Amino acid sequence: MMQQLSSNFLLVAFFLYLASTILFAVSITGRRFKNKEGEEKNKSGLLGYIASILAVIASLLYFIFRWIAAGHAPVSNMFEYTTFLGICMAVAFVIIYPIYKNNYLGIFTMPIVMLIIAYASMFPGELQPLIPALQSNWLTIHVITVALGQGILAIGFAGGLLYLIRVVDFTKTSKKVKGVEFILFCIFCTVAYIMLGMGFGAADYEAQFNYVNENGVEAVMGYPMPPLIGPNEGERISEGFEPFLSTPAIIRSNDLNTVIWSILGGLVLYWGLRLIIRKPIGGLIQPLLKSVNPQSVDELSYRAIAIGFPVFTLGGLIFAMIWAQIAWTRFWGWDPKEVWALITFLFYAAYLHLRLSRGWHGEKSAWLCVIGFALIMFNLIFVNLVIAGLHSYAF
Amino acid sequence: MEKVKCDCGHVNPYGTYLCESCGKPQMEDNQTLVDMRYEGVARRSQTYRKTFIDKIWNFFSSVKVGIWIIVLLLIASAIGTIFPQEMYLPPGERAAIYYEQEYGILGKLYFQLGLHNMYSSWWYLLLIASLGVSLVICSLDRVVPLHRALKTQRVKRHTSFLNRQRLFSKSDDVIETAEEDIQKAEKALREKKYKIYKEDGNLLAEKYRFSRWGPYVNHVGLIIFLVGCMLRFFPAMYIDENIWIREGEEVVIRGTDGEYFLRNDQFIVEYYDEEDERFRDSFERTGGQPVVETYQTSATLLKKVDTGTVGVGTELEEVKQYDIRVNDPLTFEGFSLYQVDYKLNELAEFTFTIESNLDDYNGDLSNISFEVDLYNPEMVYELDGGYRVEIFQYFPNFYINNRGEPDTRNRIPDNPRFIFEVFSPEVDHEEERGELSLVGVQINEPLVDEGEVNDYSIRMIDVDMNHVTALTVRRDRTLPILFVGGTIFMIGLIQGSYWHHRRIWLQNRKGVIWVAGHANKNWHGLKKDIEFIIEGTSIPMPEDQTDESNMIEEIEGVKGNDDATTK
Amino acid sequence: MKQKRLIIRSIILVVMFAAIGYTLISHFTEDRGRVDRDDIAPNFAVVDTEGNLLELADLEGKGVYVNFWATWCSVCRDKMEHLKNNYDDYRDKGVVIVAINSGEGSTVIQRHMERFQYNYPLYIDRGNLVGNAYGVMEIPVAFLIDENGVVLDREIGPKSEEKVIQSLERLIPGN
Repeated sequence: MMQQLSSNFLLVAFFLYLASTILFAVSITGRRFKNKEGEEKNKSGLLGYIASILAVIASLLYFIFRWIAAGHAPVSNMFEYTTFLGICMAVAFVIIYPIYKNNYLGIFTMPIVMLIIAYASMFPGELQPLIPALQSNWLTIHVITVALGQGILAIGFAGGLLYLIRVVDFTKTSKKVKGVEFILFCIFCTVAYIMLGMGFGAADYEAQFNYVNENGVEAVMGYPMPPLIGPNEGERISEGFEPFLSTPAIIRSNDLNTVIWSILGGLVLYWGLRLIIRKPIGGLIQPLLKSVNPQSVDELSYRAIAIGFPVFTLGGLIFAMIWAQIAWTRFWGWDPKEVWALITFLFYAAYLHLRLSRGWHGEKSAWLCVIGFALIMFNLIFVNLVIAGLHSYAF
Repeated sequence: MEKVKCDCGHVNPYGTYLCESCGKPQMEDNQTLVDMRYEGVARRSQTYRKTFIDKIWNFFSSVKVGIWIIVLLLIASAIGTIFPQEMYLPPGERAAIYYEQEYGILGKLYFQLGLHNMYSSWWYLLLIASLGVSLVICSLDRVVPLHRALKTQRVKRHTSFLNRQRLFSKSDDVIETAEEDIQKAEKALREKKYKIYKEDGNLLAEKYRFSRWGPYVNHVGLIIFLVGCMLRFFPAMYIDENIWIREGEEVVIRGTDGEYFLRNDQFIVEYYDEEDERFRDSFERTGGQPVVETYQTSATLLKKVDTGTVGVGTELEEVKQYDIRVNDPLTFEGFSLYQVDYKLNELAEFTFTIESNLDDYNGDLSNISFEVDLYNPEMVYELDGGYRVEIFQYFPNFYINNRGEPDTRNRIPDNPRFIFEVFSPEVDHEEERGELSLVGVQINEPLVDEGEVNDYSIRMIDVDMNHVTALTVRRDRTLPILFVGGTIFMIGLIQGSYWHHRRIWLQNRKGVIWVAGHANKNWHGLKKDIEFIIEGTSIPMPEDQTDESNMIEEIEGVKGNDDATTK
Repeated sequence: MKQKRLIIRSIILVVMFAAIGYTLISHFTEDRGRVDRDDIAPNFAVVDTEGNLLELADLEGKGVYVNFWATWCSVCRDKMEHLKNNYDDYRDKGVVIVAINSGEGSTVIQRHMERFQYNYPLYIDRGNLVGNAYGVMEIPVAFLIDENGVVLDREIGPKSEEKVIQSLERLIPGN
């Protein structure tokens, strides 16, 4: 019951984020149609903000009902944590928007929030019992604070991306153009992954293999997408074509297969769009951002990081240490997840110090914001799913 | 090294960029704006570079070096996560073999470079140490002059200080109402909680100066934290031990100098109810494997009664009972006992009986049985009917050693074997030998010459098993230091990040109003403050001089700031 | 002024480098045992397999070679043999060998005694009380205690017969 209710709220929230995105988009592109009345008459920015507030409320209701249903804070597996990270980014937006009243930030933030939440839904979403190590209030506090910190830092990323697309010259080919296009390509890959995952999921697709795992034992592996590459000494059980390649046992071939599909999907989307518009995607977006003041976006993303950094440090290092002291007997154990939290901390610390030097404002700083967000995503996805550690069973 | 005297009469230390008193730039540069970092004071490191000591000092005093240390630490830390560290290898694996076997040539290289134990390698520790040194020196080198500069700053500033601020403007003409306007602004500034300093009708409004100390406070916190970490390397500060306790057993708690003991009253593992509606989907997906809900050791803490001598005659008194669980350690006297591991169903006690192999035996042996404690067996078991069994040899964890002799690996009864010597009632055990046989789990061999048999054999009829719990004993005296360091660090971080030092200069230069503003972060907030205070006055709104340069760039098609030089 | 600054800088740098150096050195050198060289040996009381009580305090005036061992420890066995070969000689010179078993039951120790025919008593330390008080982490380990009850040395790991004799020589009272 409660769980159903909470899922419904998440769905409602998702559509409200979509509504907010559209309203912010209208606030930017629709301006010239309302010019007679003057810019202030364009209310869609405000409506977009209201939609985002409603979306956050719906998201929090999802969170609360799921908490009640499970009996523990819903931040204990990949689905729950990633969803919450998306929500936190929206919360951060709702806090920061009134300071700068920048509609462009909305049009960059809301789609990222939607993408994160959609990505989360690719993981198994049912309620899971908590193993003893995770039964701790400190864990709850730690995870919620980390997510909030990362959400605020992600606003810095949105600002950085906005800045880059605004200032980079897309008429000539350069490293910068390639860089921005690569960021956009990564976003396309995520979109492709979600679309493919939903598509094959809806079709109930599964390919099964007998294979020999890394311990030399025979096992069965399931593929959620058609197998382009097969497992070590794999033999297909279910009907279908044989994979083109097979991987060594140490690699989880079904995950790698999914990654390949996502990249292929991303390529199709990206080049498809490029063929239509005949210029870099950034160049397509840039004209819309003409009235953005780069200085103010730069300050905005710096501000977001200055706000997010202490929150992240408190949650990701200090509360994490308190929990680790209680649950794992030591506050620090050089577990990969811990190390990557430290790396994220060091990275943003370096960023904040670089901002003191001349020449690191503006574009360079925007690149750093992008890299910082990449680190956060790396920590969330790669460290959790690939580098096994103490946290690997959970989130 | 001469002092520099400014036009205003203030004597500045060598290396001063902006006069400490009036703000007039003392060095010519080609920048359009003045560099307000550290208020333009002379940082000592920039000026004294004579001796060896000064060179070291200057090296660590550079923020650039500090950033490099951070970056190196970041890269090194990342490298350490490529393959698991040695401490996370599966138990029993040897690093020398494991890395190559699992990860091939790269793994071998990883091991040979010592990256499998990177975080305690000398060079990694040195990197952390140099970060600490950099923190100390950078902070000392800046906080002292900065403090002095902010304390001695004057209200009236030199024109070239004002017009080269990022936010600046002046009225085009003489304003009649200049004095009233400034008064009005002053009122508004007070409303905005600015501190006002006045001098000859000029005005300096300032707020949140304390945020300038944020970085230094957080550096102090970090230094305390690092000192705490350093102290952990000293044995007296830090204890980390493991103890295994069988149910019913009492063992000394390692690390307590034999002071404290713990009894394991019971160890339990509880599973989630498979019928639980909430988690039904999850159980289905994972194939119905039971999920552990609780690991718990019900334990009794005991303390030795101090008599000055250890060993025989040591008495224990109960201190307290506690249910130790994961995430819920038992703490006493700075020690904590954590639930970390367990072993279910360890062999604890065997029950044996005697059987006769004689065809014409007509006695009744069915009531005879004896129990052998596998941790502390008796030497002799005197049984009903005059039978006597002696333990000739006992191997709790039996194996044949490299000399070909029966031996035991340790004292844990994982593979217990007994050599029993059986004396029937007719045999005098002091004069004669009994019958020998080797008995273990599913093993029962008479130790006799070939072709012969024993008259009696010993058969196992019952097994008693025990759960064993593993606890980690931890005492970390550095925790309070780390906690204090962490707290100060957070305070400093918040202080420096959530407030921003803002200053507004308003000057009445013969009726012409000059306005300038400076914020160390959050210019947006400062602009809004200025907008608020000039409302209803004829004070001009300061222009953001960096905006202008952006405009020029746009027109000329020059992008970005990347051609600006890094200092 | 400049002089003063140089002195302050030197002091700060020296203090920091000394602290870091000391920490690193202590990290990379072996830890001192709970009971180690130059400590006063804590008093203990143990019984042997026959039930005879021994208290360390009663051995004042004699050199004491306290050896921690276990039946399952195969490297301990060689050392126990070396001690067997020299027990009688050194008893006459005023050196006592105290072989303390680490936490095993009396049956096991008794049978071990019969199997290897030691000529010196084997003492039982149920629950590892003495071993813990002496900070014994690995066996074999020997504590050399002189006639005044001061620890001369702590010797970890297996030792050749020559080494064992050297240690016993050191323990002769008056040496």
